[in-house]
Amino acid sequence: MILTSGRLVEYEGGGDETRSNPWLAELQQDMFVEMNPFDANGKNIRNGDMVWVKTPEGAQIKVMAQVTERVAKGVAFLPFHFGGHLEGKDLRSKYPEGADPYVLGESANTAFTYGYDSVTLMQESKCSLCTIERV
Amino acid sequence: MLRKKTSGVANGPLSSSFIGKAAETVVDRRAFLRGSGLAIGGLATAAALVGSNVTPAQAVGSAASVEIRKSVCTHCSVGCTVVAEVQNGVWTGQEPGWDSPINLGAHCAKGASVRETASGERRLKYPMKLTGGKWVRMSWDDAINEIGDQMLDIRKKSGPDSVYWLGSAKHSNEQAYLFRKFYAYWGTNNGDHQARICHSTTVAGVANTWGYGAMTNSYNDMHNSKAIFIIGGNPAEAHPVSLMHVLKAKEQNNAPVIVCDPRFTRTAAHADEYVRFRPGSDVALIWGIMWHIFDNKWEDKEFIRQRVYGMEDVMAEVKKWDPAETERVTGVPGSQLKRVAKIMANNRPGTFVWCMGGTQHTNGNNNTRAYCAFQLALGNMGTAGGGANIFRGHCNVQGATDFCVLSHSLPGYYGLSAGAWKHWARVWGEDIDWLKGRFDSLKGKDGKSKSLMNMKGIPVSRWIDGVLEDKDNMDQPDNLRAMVFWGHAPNSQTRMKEMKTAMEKLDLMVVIDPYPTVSAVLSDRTDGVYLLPATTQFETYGSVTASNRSLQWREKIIEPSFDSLPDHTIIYKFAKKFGFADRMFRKIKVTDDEPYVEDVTREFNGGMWTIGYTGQSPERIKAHMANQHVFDRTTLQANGGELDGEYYGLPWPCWGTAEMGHPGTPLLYDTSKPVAEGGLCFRARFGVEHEGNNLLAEGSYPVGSEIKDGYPEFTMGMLKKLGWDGDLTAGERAAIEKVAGDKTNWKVDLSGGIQRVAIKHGCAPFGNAKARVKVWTFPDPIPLHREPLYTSRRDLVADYPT
Ligand code: SF4
Repeated sequence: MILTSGRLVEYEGGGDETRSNPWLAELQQDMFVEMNPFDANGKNIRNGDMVWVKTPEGAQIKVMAQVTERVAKGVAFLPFHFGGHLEGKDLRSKYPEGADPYVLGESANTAFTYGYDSVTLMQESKCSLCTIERV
Repeated sequence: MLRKKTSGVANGPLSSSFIGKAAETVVDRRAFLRGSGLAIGGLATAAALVGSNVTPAQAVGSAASVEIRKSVCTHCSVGCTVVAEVQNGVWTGQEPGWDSPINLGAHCAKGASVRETASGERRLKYPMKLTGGKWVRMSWDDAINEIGDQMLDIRKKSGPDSVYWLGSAKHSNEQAYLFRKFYAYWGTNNGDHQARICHSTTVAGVANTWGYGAMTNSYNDMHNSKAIFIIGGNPAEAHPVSLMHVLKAKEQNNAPVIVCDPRFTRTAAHADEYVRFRPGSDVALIWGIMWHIFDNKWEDKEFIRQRVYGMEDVMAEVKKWDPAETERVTGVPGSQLKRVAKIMANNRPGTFVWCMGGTQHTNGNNNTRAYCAFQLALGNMGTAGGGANIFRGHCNVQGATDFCVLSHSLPGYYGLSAGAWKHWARVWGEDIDWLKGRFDSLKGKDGKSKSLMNMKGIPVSRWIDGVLEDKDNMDQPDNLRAMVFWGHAPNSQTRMKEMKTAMEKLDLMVVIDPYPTVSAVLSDRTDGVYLLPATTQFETYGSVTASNRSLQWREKIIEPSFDSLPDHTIIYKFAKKFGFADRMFRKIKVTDDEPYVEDVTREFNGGMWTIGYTGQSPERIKAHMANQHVFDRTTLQANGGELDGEYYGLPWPCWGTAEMGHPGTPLLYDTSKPVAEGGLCFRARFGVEHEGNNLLAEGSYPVGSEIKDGYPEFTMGMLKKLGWDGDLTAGERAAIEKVAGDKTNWKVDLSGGIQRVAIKHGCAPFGNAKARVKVWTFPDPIPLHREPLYTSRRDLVADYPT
C-alpha cells in the first residue's frame, strides 16, 4: 500500500507542546492509521483494532486502525505529531518525572523511509510503501 | 477516534490548580473545543461579517487589576493575535484578538488553549542531566559549564564542525538572528532548522522562479480571489483561521474551491471540485491540467511575453501529458481535469495554495516549480486575488528562514561567499580575519586549502548521516559528536530508527526546549544528555513574521515559569562561556545575561537589505500592534490616522531605513502600484541574458517607474549612468564609497541610499526581470514527473525514472 502523512487540527509539529496541553490532549488520544474499508475488510481489520504498519526499511509501528473512505483503496494515512512510543514500546517511564506529555503514541516518522530532494535535501515523508496487519 | 479520556494515563495527577482553572471557566472546555477546526473558523466568519459590533464576553473575575497584553499564537504561521489578561503576574484570561486584521476575533483549538502551553504543568522545569539512567536536577551555571567544557574539548580535538546547532522556527526573529550569528561565531555552518524539512523545496523552487521564496500575497488577499486552488494542503486543520478567508471568497465572490489531495481532508469537504490523485504525482497532475489550458489557448499570452522566460519549453513538456497519459500516472480522469482547467481559466484571478503535501517529496523542487508555472501561464501572479499563497507551518518559520538558521546561508539569503561574510562582518563591526580563524579548513582535490566558512554545512535532514557516516566520506574533519536540539522535535524527521542509533553514538546531546521532547526518551542512553528549560514565546518578547511576511510584536505576558530562560539569554550564556560574548554583543545592551531585544532588531535592520527587513524598526512594529483596528481587513492597509497608507506588519520587503517610511509590500510583484507604495516587479536575479535570450521584463514595470522597461539590479555605477547619483546625500555617498565604490550594489549598501534613490525614481532596487520557468541550474531545468523512490507503480519507473 502507499503510505502518506499529514496534520491534525489539535496538535502541532512533533506535538510535544500540544500533547502536553490537557485541553488539546483530550481531543486526540490515540495515534492511528487511516485505511480504506476495502483494504481493511480484506485483512479482517475492524475500526479501532490495533494494527502493525510495516515499512520497507524494516520499521514497524503499532497504531489503531481508523477505517474510512477519506483515503482511497491502496492508500494509508498517518498523522504526524505523536511520539513517545517506539515499535510497540511505551517510553513514558523515560521522561523526567512530571514532564511527560499526556498523550504518547507512535511517530509516523519511525515508519517513513530514506529519500531526499535533489536540490534541498528535503526528506520524503508523503509517499512511501507499507503493509498493514492486525496485531 | 475521538473518545473521552476515562482514566489518567499520564504520570501523576492533574494538579488541583488546573481543575480550579477549569471550574472557573464559563464555557465548558470540551464543548468549546470539540471539532474546533472548522466550527470555530465558521463562528469567526460570522463575527467578521457583522463587524466589530460583536463584543467579546466579559472576562470572569474582578476587573480591578487586570492588565491586557498582546502576543501572537505560537502554533502556526497564520499569526493570530492572543489578548492575555494578567492579574498579579498570573495569566488569568485570554481572548482572541478582535482588532487583528488577520484573525478578526477567531482562534482554533490550539490558539484557544495557548495559556496552558505557557503555564503548563508538564513543562520541563529545571536544567537536568541524565546520569546512570536517572534525570538529575542541576543549576544553570553548572549546566552551562559542564556542557561548555565538553564542547570546547570536542572543538579542540575534532574541530568546531563536530558540534551541530539545530535551531527552531519557534525562535522569535531576534532569537533566530542571534542563533545564526552565534554558530557563525562558534565557527561552523552546521546549523539548520525545521524549514529544511517543511518548505525548503518551496523556498528554493520559488526563489529560483521569481526572486523571493515566500508567500506572495496574504491570507486576507484571498478575499479578492475568483477561484481558489489548493494542492497538498489541509488548511482547515493545519491553518484553521486561514480557512475563514478562503470561505469569505467562496461566499462573497462565488469563488469555486478546488482541492487536490490523495486524502479527502476537512478542507476537501469544502471543495466544489475534489481531485483525488496518487501521492507523488503532482507534476503529472499539474501538467495534465495545463495540457487543457494550452490546448484551448487559455494562457495569458501578453503576460507571458512580458514577464515569463522559458514557457515554450514548459509547453513542450506539457504536450506529453495528454488526458490518457495523465490518467495512467495520476489516476485522475481527463474529463475532471478539463473541468478544473476551465474553472481556473474562467475565474481569474485565482489563487494557488500549497503546503507540505507538495513539498515533502524527493521530487519537491519540481512540484513547487510546476505550481509556479501554472500561475504564470494563467497570468495570476502579481495581482490581488492571485499569487502563490504558500502557507508556512510554524509560527515563525518564515522569520527563521529569512534569518537563515540554515546550513547554507547567512541571514537574509546572502549565502556563504566571501562577499556575504564581509557584508555581515561589516554589520557586526567584526574583524573578518578573526571570524575566519574560528573556522576549520580542508584540503581540496586541487591540494589547496579551503575554508569551511564558505562551504555548506550538513542539513538537518542528514545529521544522522553526519554521525554514522565514515568520516573519510565527509566534507569536514570529523563526525558530529555533539547535537544541540534547540526547539526541535526529532519525530518530525524520517528514519527514526537510524536516528536512535545516531543519538546513542554521540558524545553529548543537549535539548533546549520548554518541553522535554521525544529527544529525551528516544535513545537508550543512560548518560550525556542534558535538558535545559527554555521559555515559551509568551514569557518573553520580540518580533515574529507571519506567513504573509507581516511582522508582529509579542509582548511578554508572564515572567518565565520555573527555571526557564528565553533563548536569547541562553545564547548569551553560551557565548560568554565560549569567550566571544563581548564581540558578538558589542552593539547590544545586556542586563543580567539578557540581551535587550530591541537592540537586536535594530542590528538586523542594519543588515537585511536583500529582503527588506530594514524598515521595520521595533517602534514601527509596536505601533502597528497597538493600532490593529486601523487596518483594512482585505488590503491590510491603514486607513487614516498616523499609520495611513502603511500595510499591517510592514510585510517585507519594507525597503530602506525606517526613516524612509516605506509602507511594506503586501503583494509581491504587483506592478499596479509604485514601488514606494508597495508595488514591485519580478526580481532580476539570474543575469540579464540566457543563451542569447533577454531575461529582463519587456514593456512591463511598476506604475510610476522612470525606466519603462526591464533593468538589472541597482549598483552605484548604474545610479551614476542614469545620472541619479546626485540624489544621494553626502553621508550615503561616503558609506557606499567605503564598501566597494561603483561596484557597491543595493544589497550591501549599509546606508540604504541606493535603495532610496532607485525607489524615488519608481524603480525596484533588485531590478525588473522575467520570472523563469526554466531553472537551468537545477537537475531538471523544466520540472519533470519522477516516480517516488518507494513507488507502488514499478511499471512507470522506466518512463519516469526516480
Ligand atoms: S490558526 Fe494558527 S495562529 Fe491562529 S489560533 Fe490556530 S494555530 Fe494559532
